[in-house]
Amino acid sequence: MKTRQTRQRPLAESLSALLLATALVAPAAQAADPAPAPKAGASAPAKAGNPCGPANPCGPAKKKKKSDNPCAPSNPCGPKKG
Amino acid sequence: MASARARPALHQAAEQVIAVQAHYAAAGVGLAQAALGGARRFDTLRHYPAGDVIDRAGHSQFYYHAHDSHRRPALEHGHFHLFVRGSEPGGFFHLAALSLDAHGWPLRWFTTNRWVTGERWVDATTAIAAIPGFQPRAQGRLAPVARWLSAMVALHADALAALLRRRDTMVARRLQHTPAEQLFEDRRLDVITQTQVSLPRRLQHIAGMARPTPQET
Repeated sequence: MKTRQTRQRPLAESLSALLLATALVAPAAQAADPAPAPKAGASAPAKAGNPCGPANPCGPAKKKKKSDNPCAPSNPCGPKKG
Repeated sequence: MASARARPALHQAAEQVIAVQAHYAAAGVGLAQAALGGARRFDTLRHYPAGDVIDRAGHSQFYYHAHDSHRRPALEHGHFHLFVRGSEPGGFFHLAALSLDAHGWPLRWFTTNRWVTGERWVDATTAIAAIPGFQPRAQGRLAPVARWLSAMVALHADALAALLRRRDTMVARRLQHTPAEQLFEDRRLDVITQTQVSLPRRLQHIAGMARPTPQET
């Protein structure tokens, strides 16, 4: 029981200190919509709901495939645009 | 109610949560800011960090981001998505998500429909079994954030288990009159279950300063 009391006391104290300290924390800036991407690089439309959103908007990051030539266009055999 | 055996672990988790938040608070920073990892801009839907925090050895992964949703709380700044990775490539499931306000205080835990993350759907029993193992390790400036998230999961293990079980109950109810694929791909259903979090109250309870609320038992 004594162990529990001695352990609880610092926890209570550090919690009180935290509540005081966090009163001085500045709020983080809200998210903003990124600048619109160029049409040529736009992603495929989603199946439903949000036509401009990705199919799995909250999916984990996928491992990027290494390109042989990082400066190559994304569709090297596509027709010339414009 | 947490068993007597679980109490030391809960204390340890509470100490970890307080230590990390106090560390950031001393610099005038909250967890919402810390989660951005020093990024100058906070863009809607972008992952922070880019590429996520992935602990391959620990089979865990997380990232922070923000976007609109009809069930998004007005005070939400963004949320963490927590994943458990399987051993096969691309195999993962979503454990839960945790919303924060702009000062970095947690607001709610929530579960999502399958289409939201493109996960391999697992039942609550499987997901709950993975809760104790969710201890992502990160290097660099996000290491304290990873420790904080691990401790938050440990601190709310019972509430998370209840949340996941409620999710399965809701899904099972809907599956009685909706085909599975239609339900799991229903864009109108993003958040399936959610539970509010009062971290100060949870910590006060563990510190013996307050009585538990129903969701804390």
